[in-house]
Formats: sequence, structure tokens, C-alpha cells
Amino acid sequence: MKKLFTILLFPFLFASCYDNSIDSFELYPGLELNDVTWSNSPIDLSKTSALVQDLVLETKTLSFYAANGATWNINDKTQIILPANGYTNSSGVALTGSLFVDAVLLSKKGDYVRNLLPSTTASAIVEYGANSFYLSLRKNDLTEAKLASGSFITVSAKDTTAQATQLLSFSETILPLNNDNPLRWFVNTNASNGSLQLKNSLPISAYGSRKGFEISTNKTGNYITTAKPYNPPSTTSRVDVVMPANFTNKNTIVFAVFDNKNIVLRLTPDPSNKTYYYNAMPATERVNFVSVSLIDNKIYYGSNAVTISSNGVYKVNPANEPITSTKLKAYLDLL
Amino acid sequence: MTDKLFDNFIQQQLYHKESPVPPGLWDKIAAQQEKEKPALIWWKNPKVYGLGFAVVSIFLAGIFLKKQQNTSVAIANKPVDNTQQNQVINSNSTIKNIVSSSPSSSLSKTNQDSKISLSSDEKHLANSISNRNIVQKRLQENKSNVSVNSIQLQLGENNNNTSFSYFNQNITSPILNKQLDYGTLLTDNEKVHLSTPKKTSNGLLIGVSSNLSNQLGSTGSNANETQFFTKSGKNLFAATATPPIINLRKVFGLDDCPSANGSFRNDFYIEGYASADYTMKRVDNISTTDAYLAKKDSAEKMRGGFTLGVRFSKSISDNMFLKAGFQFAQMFEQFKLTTENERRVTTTIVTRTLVRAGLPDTTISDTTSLIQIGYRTQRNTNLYRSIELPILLSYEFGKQDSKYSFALTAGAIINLSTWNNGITVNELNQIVSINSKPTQNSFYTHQIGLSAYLSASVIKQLNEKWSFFAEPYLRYSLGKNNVASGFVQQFDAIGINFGTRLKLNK
Repeated sequence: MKKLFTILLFPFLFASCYDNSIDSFELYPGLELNDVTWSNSPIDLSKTSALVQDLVLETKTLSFYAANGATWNINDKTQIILPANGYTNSSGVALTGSLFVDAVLLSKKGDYVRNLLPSTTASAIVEYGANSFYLSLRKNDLTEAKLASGSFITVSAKDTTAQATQLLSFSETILPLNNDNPLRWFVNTNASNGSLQLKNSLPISAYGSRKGFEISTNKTGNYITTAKPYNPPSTTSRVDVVMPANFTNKNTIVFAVFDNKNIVLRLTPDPSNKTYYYNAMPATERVNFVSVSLIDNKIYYGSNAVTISSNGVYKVNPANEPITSTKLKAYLDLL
Repeated sequence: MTDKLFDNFIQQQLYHKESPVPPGLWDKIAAQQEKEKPALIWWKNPKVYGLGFAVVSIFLAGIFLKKQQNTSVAIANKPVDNTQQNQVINSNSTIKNIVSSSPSSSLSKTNQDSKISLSSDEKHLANSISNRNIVQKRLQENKSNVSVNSIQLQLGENNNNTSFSYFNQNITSPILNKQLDYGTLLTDNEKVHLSTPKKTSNGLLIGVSSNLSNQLGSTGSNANETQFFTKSGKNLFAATATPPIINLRKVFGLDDCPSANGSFRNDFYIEGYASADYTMKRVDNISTTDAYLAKKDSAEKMRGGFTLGVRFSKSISDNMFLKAGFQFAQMFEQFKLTTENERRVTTTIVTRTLVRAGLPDTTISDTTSLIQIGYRTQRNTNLYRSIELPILLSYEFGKQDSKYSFALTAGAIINLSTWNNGITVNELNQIVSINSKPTQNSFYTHQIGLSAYLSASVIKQLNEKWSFFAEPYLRYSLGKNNVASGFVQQFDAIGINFGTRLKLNK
């Protein structure tokens, strides 16, 4: 009988203690979110282009006859006067008939973030005026057009805070164009490219003050702005921004948006430290660090408003859940 | 720049987009194919169990009723048993009438000491039952003036258990004026009993033949009663004409005295057994979606089980046993659920040192979240445990002392208590615990379950006390083992009980 109970008891005890619980998690290979490594080489623009394509401001287009020219009131703050005749293709052959002019207007700091336009020149920070523009001409979708030598487009842009210290600047493309070489501004010093006049009575239908600039330009296919040099109130130093592991230089861009000035800085990724940094950040400025990430075609947004201290290291922790591009635009419009 | 930049971008991104095959997809397809096996595979078809159970139950019930009927016939003078008895007794018995201790060829009938004449055929105990009917009839016909002492009506056996006689020992006995019916014959002071063989003063053996189960013998020790017993001590004529289908006194071994039923097996066993089970699960949809049940079904696979039990077995006839006891059953279920596009967020503390040109090294510690996307596989062995009460009826073929015997068993298993351990998936595709504890709500609510049990067993006699048996069985759930929101689970099993049987009585 003892044997019987022993035989019966053994499997019971064995089974009672039996436990087999496994919870495994396997990463999908190839997903960007699972790639937490940083690239030591500059990232091509395909990534940021994808992000920009979703964020870029609306382009406005006007069709006109080259022989007649046109006056285009884009809004109650901006007027573009297109001269009659004086248009050529890229080879210098005169163009006639209908032409198209495309324009993008930037006015808010968020617009510069959306169009990846930091307010920096090659060596300094500039402070934007009230408006910036993108102007281009084309015969059709395939044929580029430009102004013939001596022909100018006149842009009247309202700027109630316009100052004489503001200078005409054009965007400059740095080749190779990649994530580490964004557009930057250069101040126009060549009168044949254009000129800037401060006016108190622009020929626009704006209510109130019609103070602003009259810009005369021969350059198309560029961003145009009226910016003044920025004089830091204090010393500048390197500041760094750290982010969670998922956000790397392969998928994230970081801006420093000044609270009280029309300045937007693009931070440079540092793969060795896995940070984003800016070398000449003025101390004591109130700055909002903004990150925009595109990971697996999902947008992540993060921000952190700080007062800059010398050599500071700041954190930006984007929300774990992605957001829509509409929501991101709304966030950026509030900057 | 155009107005269609965004559209072009989407188009460009999606044109060459290839969707990766989610990991585990083929497993799901394989599981689906496995699930679609034809129902002709008998062990996958619950109807087979029901049909088998019905057939064997009918068979066992037939055997049982037949046995009961035979017992009743022996008492109630059914032709079949009479014939059997007659055949045996007629072949080697003579019957005598004894009056006043002397063998007589007739029963006399007078007002005070009358005798009823019986024919020679009536004297044969081979026709004892029919003869007794005649005796009854005649007594009844003359009941107004019949004066038969109970001892006058005795059945004797002589010649080594093969010869029976009526004999009258006392003619001054009380009048037996009631109808001599086997069921009502024995009342009050007119009891007629059978007894074990007893040698009378005239040298006759009174009793029953050992090879006949319900033969009659008699003895009378006093003037008021003559009792008839079976040789095994059972009081035959004390029984009613229509005995109960199950004689509980017999079942529990309380009838230790001989009766007219004759001898029967009166054994009492304890059986210990263990089995390896092949378990199956049935899920009935009540109010949930088929898609959810399909997902749940694909995630759960029964992986067998075992049963341990002890039961008591009591013979209720030579071949019929009633069994009851307790058993512990445990079923294993493999749960495996793979969920795609799982986001795992892990909070990490990152400490790193920034090395910046022209600046001292800076160590920062940052608590951040790491997000990962992948597929999650959760495996668990679910346990369904229960304490059960088997109540079984078994018919055992073969002789009691044979080395091997065969038995068919059917009955019910009542689920007394069930508790579970493990996980499952709910309708929201979330993993939930099925652990059942008295203090918390479980995913499953339990109802007392009832299962039909059917088995065939081979019994090997090891020695006088011990036997070993192997018992392939089938249990088919008739109740609701697990009740969840929207569906019901039932468990079936086939298995083989291996056990030992200990005979408790001598």
C-alpha cells in the first residue's frame, strides 16, 4: 500500500510544481525605431526631405503673360510686381507667353522650422524680420525661368518693426546638401542681385501702418529675407541637448527657438556624444529646444523651454506616442 | 514647387513599399490547417463519445437489469428460473412427505389434523416452486379448515444435498390459513424459512444443494415457525415478491443471513489508480465573436493531463460492482499567443560622459524611455485542476478467482471543485490571468460539472488480495467546466487508468 501511495503521490507533486511561463519580445529587423545607433557620417537629406515635404509651407502660384507682367497681392501684407518682358530660360533664351511665379511666405518662427531655415549665416546668428519669401519662375513644370539681366521683381512687405539695420539676405545652398549642411543665409552685397528700401507707405492695401520694406531682386529660386545681425547679450558657449535612445541623428532634427527674438537655430548632431549641440549659444537667453522626428513614417515631437546657461546640457523627451503632421504644425505655429 | 508635393511624396513612399510578412504568420496558417482536420478523425469528434457511451451504458444497464430480473424471477417464480431449477433438481432428487417425523407420500388435511394429499410430482422439489404453488392453492382452497403446522410444511433435503422432501413434524401447529404466496407467505407466526442443511432426527439432511442457488431446505425449531433460508444464509421468502432494483442491504453487505436469493459475491475493494490523459476542449460560443474564439482557439492547445484517484468498489451481485471515490485531475494547456506590432516601452537610466572639445567632461544621468517595436510571444502552461467524485457501475466478466477478468464500467464523474492557473486572451486582445482564487474574480467562473464516464478494463489477479488493472476510459463532459463572458468551455478526455485493487474483505 505504501508503494501505491508513493507511486500516486510522485506525479501529483511533480505536476503541482510544474510551471512554464515565457514572455519573449522579438524586435522587427529594419524598423527605424529599433535602430538606436547614431551615424558617424552626415545623413542624406532623404530623411529630412520626407519630413519637410510633410511640413513645408504652402506654395502660392500665379500665372501671367510675360509681355504684360503682373501685380500680385498675395495677402494684405505682401505685394509682388512682376515686370513686363525680361524673362529667359536657364540658357538665356527669352521666354514669352504665359509664365508661372511660385511664392512661399514665412512669417512665424515655426515657419522657419517647418522649412528648415535656421537664422544663421556662415559665422553669425541673424534675427529675422517680419517676413521671408521664396520666389521662383518657371515656364512650365519642366522649364525653369529666370529674370533677364537688368530685370527685377519688386516685393513690398509690411514690417511694422522694420529697422534700417536689416539687410537683404539670400539663402545659400551648401553642397553637398545633407542633414548636417542646412541652408544658411548670406547678406547681399551685390546691387545687381537686388536692393532693400525701408518705406513708411508701401503700395499695399493693409490696414493701419504700411511701414515695411520694398525689396528689389533679380534672384529667383532662393529664399529672401530681411534680417539684422544678432548681438548676443552675454558670452556664448556650447550647449548640448540629449534625447532618448530612439532619437538619433538618423531620424531627428533639433532646433533652438528663441522666446523673445525672431531667431531659430538648428543644432548639430554629435554622434560621439549622442547629443545635439550649438557652439555659440548665448547665455541668459530663454530658448525652447524643439525636436522633430520622423521614425517609420511617424512623427514625434518634443520640446523643452530653458534659460541658457554656459555649457549647459538639456534634455528633450518627445512623447512616446507619435503625432499627426497637422498637430505638429499646430505646435510649431505656437512657437 | 507644386501643390502636389505632399501627394507626390506619399505616392513615392508607398510605390516601392513592401510590407514585411509578420513573424509567426505561418504558424498561424499551420494552426488553422491543423484546426481544419476532418471530423472523421474519431477522437476529434465528440459525437463518437456520446454514441459509445450510450451503447456501453445500454449494455451495462441491460446486464444489470437482467441480473436483477433473474433475482426477482428466483423469488417470484418466473418460468425461466423454474425451468433451470427444475432441470437440475429433477435429474437427481426425490421428494418425500414426512408426517410426524415419518416420510409420507402426502400431506394430510383434516379439520384439526387433516392432510392434503399431494401427487408425486408435487413432492419433487425440482418442481418445488410450482409445487409450492399447488400447495398454496390447495391450502387456499381449504383455508377454512386447513390446519397445517408450519413444521408440517417442511422441505427437506437428503441424499447429500440432492433429495428434498416435504415432511410434517408437528400436526398440532397453528393453522396456516393465509394464501401461500412466496412474497407474502412469511408473515407473523406463519414464517416459512429455508436454512442451511441440517440433519434431522430421522437422518435427513435439510437444506439446499450447494450447486443450486435458490433451492429450498427447511428446518423448524419450534411449533410456531418454520423458516426457509438459502444455503448462504439469505432469507428467501422474507423478501417481497418485487424486490427493489438495488438491494442496499446487499450493496452494503448487511445481509449476512442466508436467504432464498442464494449466494452472491460480497466483496469490498479499494482501488488506487493513475492515468495519463489525452484531453480535448470544446468551446461553445454564447455571445462573443467568432473571430475572438478563433484567436483564442489558435492560442490554446490541450496538452494532456493526468488523473489520480482512490475509489471503493463494492459488489452488488456476482458480477456487478458499484464504485465511488475521489480523484484529482489535472489538465495541461499550452498557451501561445503572438501579437504583432507590440510597442514595448522600457524606462532606462542612461549615464554617460560628454567629451566636448575645450570643456571639462560632463557626466549626465538621464532617465528616459526606450521604445521598441516587435512581436511579443507569450507562452504559458495553463493548469486546470479539479477534485471529482466518480460514481460508477461496473460489470465484471469472468469468474471471481480467475487470473484475468474483463470489466465494463460506466457512470458519472461529478466535478466538486476546480481551480485554474495560467493566462488567456480576452476579447480586447489582452493577456489576462485565469488564476482562480477564492478572494478574487477569475476570468472563468466555475460551475459544478458533470461528465459521463465509460471504460473497459482488464484485471489481473496478483494474489488473493491484490489485483492490477488497466482501464482505458473515456469521459465526456455534460456540464460547463468553465464559463467566461460570452463562451463556455468543456473538457473531455480519453486515457488509461493503471491501478491496483486491494480486497478488503476475507
